[in-house]
Amino acid sequence: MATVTLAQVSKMYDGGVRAVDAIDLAINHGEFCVLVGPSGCGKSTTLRMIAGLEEITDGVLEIDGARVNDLPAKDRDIAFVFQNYALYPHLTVAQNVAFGLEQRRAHGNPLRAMLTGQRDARGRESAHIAQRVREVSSTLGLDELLTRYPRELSGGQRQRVAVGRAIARNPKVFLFDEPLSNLDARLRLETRTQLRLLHRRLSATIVYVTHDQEEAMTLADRLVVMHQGRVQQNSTAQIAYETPANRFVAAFIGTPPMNLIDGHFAHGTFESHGVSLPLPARWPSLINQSKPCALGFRPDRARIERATAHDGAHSVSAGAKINARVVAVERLGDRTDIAMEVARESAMNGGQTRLVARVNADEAEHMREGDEVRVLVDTAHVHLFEPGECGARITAS
Amino acid sequence: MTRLMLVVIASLLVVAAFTRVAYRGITAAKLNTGEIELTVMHWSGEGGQEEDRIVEDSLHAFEAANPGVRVKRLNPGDAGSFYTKLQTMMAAGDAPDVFYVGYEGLANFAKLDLLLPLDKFVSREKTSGLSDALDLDAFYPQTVDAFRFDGHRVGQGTLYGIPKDFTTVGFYCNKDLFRAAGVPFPTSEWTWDEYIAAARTLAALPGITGSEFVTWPVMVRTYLRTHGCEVISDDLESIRVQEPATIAALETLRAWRHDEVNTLTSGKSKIATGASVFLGGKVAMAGPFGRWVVPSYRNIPSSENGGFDWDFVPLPRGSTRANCVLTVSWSIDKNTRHPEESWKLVKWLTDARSQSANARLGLAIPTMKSIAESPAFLDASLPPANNQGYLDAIPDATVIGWPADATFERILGSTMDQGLKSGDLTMTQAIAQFQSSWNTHVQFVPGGVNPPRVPWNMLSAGALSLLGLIIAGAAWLWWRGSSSRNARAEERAGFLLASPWLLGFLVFMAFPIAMSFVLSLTNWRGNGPLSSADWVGVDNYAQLLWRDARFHTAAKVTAYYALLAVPLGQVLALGAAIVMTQKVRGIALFRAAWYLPSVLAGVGVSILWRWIFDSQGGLINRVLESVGIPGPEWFGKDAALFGPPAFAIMSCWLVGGSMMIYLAGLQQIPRELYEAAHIDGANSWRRFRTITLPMLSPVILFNLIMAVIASFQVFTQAFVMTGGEPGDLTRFYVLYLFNKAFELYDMGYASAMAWILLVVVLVFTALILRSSARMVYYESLRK
Repeated sequence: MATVTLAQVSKMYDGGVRAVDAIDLAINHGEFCVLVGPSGCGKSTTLRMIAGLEEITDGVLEIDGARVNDLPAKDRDIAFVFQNYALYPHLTVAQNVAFGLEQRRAHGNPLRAMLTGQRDARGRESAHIAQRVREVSSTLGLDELLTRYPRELSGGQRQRVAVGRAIARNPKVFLFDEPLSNLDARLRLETRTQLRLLHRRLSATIVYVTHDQEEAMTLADRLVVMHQGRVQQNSTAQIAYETPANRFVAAFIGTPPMNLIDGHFAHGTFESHGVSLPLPARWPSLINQSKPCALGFRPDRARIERATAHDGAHSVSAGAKINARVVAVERLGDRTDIAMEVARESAMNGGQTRLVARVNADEAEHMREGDEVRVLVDTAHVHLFEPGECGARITAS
Repeated sequence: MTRLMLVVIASLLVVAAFTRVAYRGITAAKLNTGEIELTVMHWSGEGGQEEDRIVEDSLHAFEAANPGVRVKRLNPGDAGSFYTKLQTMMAAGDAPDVFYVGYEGLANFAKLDLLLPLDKFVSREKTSGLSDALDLDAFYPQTVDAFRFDGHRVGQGTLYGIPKDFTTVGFYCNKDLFRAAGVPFPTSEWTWDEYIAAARTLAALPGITGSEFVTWPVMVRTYLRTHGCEVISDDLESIRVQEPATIAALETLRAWRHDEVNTLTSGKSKIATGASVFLGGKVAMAGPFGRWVVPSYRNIPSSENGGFDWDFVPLPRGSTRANCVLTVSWSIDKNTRHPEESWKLVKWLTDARSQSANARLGLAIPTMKSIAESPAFLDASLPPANNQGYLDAIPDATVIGWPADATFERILGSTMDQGLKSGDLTMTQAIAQFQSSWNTHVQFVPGGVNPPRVPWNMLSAGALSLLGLIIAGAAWLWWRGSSSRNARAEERAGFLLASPWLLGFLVFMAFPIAMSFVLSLTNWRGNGPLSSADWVGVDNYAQLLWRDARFHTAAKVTAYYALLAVPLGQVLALGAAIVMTQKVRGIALFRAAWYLPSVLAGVGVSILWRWIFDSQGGLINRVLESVGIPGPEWFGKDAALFGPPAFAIMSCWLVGGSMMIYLAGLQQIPRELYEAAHIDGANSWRRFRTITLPMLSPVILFNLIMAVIASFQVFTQAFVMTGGEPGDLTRFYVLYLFNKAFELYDMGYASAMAWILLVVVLVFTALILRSSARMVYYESLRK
């Protein structure tokens, strides 16, 4: 158990590429912190800096309050689980698990131990290592595998051995670099749960990197969304989902992601091509303002009704409704995702705005591609964002 | 349509591949009606381009004088290349009509019935009354007798060649050094006592060695003859080397060389012996050499121009006077289609005019007395001044006969070298070794006294039916294997496109390989037709495995070398590869520098290393001396211990290839493994042992097998650097195989050696593969 603190930590590569840009992060004792973001966002680099595999260009890294910037990896008391597990191919599972302990024993050299009369001390160490391997293997269910070689294991088994190697040493901090991405979907779900349980049992501090936002949300006590080397949001998963800090987080978190429509806000109404939504007065800062912004709402906050011939023209002004045409219907069992394109008055001005609505299966029973529909947005749950890829969410009252 | 195209293209490729061969045949036949073509082959060793030009001029003149006869001239280079080429041509039934034969090779060629007897032409000349009639009485009789062979020994019997020129031997002396030491210049009457006294006095000069004394077998025998002894009787019936007088004479020579400092060059290294040492001006006398060194010695500048004056003295006398006749003839192929024209040409090439032209070259003494004693030879405008010295030796000079079996000279040479030159054996030991090797050799009569001829008809019938069976089997498998028409059509096209290679493989690889196995069961000599071969069963193999001590030495030398070179090379290559993975500026340059030696020519590199290992001025010994370690005589008396290691050290020069493969392997190892070990606290040695080695194990295995195979196949280095000397101490397996096949014409025996080598390589590869199964991890190759 330990805390990990990053203060203004940056990583600059040769040639001036700034992979990590002055990030601040404080991870508490026993916290399961997940760094998530698209590839190239700096999350792995951050993790590797914590591990000591990458040099820190700038800023301060502390573990348990002590500055460790210049401490070599082996002295930081951390464990690292690699995406491809990095098991030693010529060692058995037991030897792999014991490897870190073997390297750290005080009397590693049997000859020297014999010459200096410390054979007993060495023997006690050996017994302790064997004991520790047994504990780890029973925790992770590796008992059957101890004498096998990595090449004789399945992907899931290798993954468990990699975790076993990490926990054997009882380190202060566990670092996981996309440990599940080489597993198939079902095993990934299973292992996710086990990791969660393991965390609870060890109450260890974990820093975990993934590009899969769903995995991130299910595992994280603390979710850190990264993009372009910066922290975009640092909160619980729930907060990140419900109140994304900015448009990037809104688009990244959630499956399917938040619907976003670029437009213009004026006089309490959001206007876009083919869309005109009167919004309740929840944005005090926007009163009497007129400015470009983006409107966002979660797919499950939308409902759909079939457009009928007779309510054609005047329905456009009938409140929070958007006319759209169905382009895809994805049935997930109890729910159905309906992808739509917003009906446009003209085809000018860039690409089509796409929307997704997640509705109960029975509501969408008769939906077909090409159907003309109206999307009813629950205006209590819409967000407004400043323009731009990382435009901040405009605080609502 | 596409298929048709494929067929056409494939056929065109095959036709194109063979067109060149066919084209040669067509052009060769393009002679005017009534014209004939003679092929003449010669070498130009010491004579160089000058000799080349003289022969060419002479042939042009012959063509002009003999309309209707065209002469095609071949010159493969030095004598060694000449004999290899001649052997190949004879085996192919395409021998040149007229060619050089050295006196020492005559018995071998004559015994194999490859030369046309010339007696009937000669006797016809006498009565012909022609103006250009050849008169053998005009020649020095020893030179003519050198080309007579009676089926057993040279010197009498049928005449097989007309001597073109010859030489006697003696010492070349640096007159400036003689003056400086106050030693009177010797005369043709000097003795060995005078010789060695002079050598000792001259050796007292600072930095000067008294004399170079080459220990070539013919020179050793000539030396012995001056003491009235010999290694073999004149009738070649009995070995005389063990006689007390012979041993005493040899011991004297050995003592001069090895028990005294600077009196004789001690054969410490190859560049310190031979004719070229004299050029440096640090050796007062050099010999026994014949006339052939004169063209190169004439390049020595005079005293005024920084060189020195030199001259020739014939061999000193011991208890008697003796000298040898070394000569080369023009001979005619037994199966020539144009014997008359060939004889005319031989006459032309040995007549007075040709001999005069040759005499100007300075390379040898004309074989016609009248020319030798004329100004054409005696003209002293160029050194040496003492041309008369060569002629003074003639009355005592004889042809030194050799057994037709060239192995005698080989064994004698290598054992005498170990005693006289490298000095690692006493004379008694060397003589014992000679006798044992020679006895083993003569007792080996492959196939017994009357071996059956090789049943070629039966063999070829068997081989053809076997081939038929294989083709039928393959066709049947193919027919059954792929059911769909499409697949079969694709396979057909594939085979068709591969057919040029397939044909090439069958004709130039598979057939010779199979053939060599058949030959290993015969006594084929490689320079006659296959029909002359006898069937000897497994005699060759039995001789090799149980009795041939030279073969066992070669195997030991090779094993010793492999034991050193393989681990050394692999460790170095891996070490270098690890260094080359460093991310340093300009690393590509370093990698290229390490790899560069691998693309350099083997022969040039070998010559370079010959100098590096030179025991007197070589780089390695200089370095060793500078740190106070006396360097060994790598290829001299310490060759038994240090010869193969020298080659092993040299092989490190070529680790670039292995290094590149290791480098590629290292870059395949996932970085995460090292990072994991880092975090686990493993130090760099642990990381190397637990990650680099296991992850690299498939690459190590590959490199190891390649290195083991390569170490069994050492040839070029040994051939160029030592030629297997001293004795057989650096005679590697393949070098011995080459000696047997292409120098001693024992092709059946050499084929058996090749097959034993193949089996050994197979066994080693299998052993390595099997024993490595538990130590090789293929993880890094898996994705």
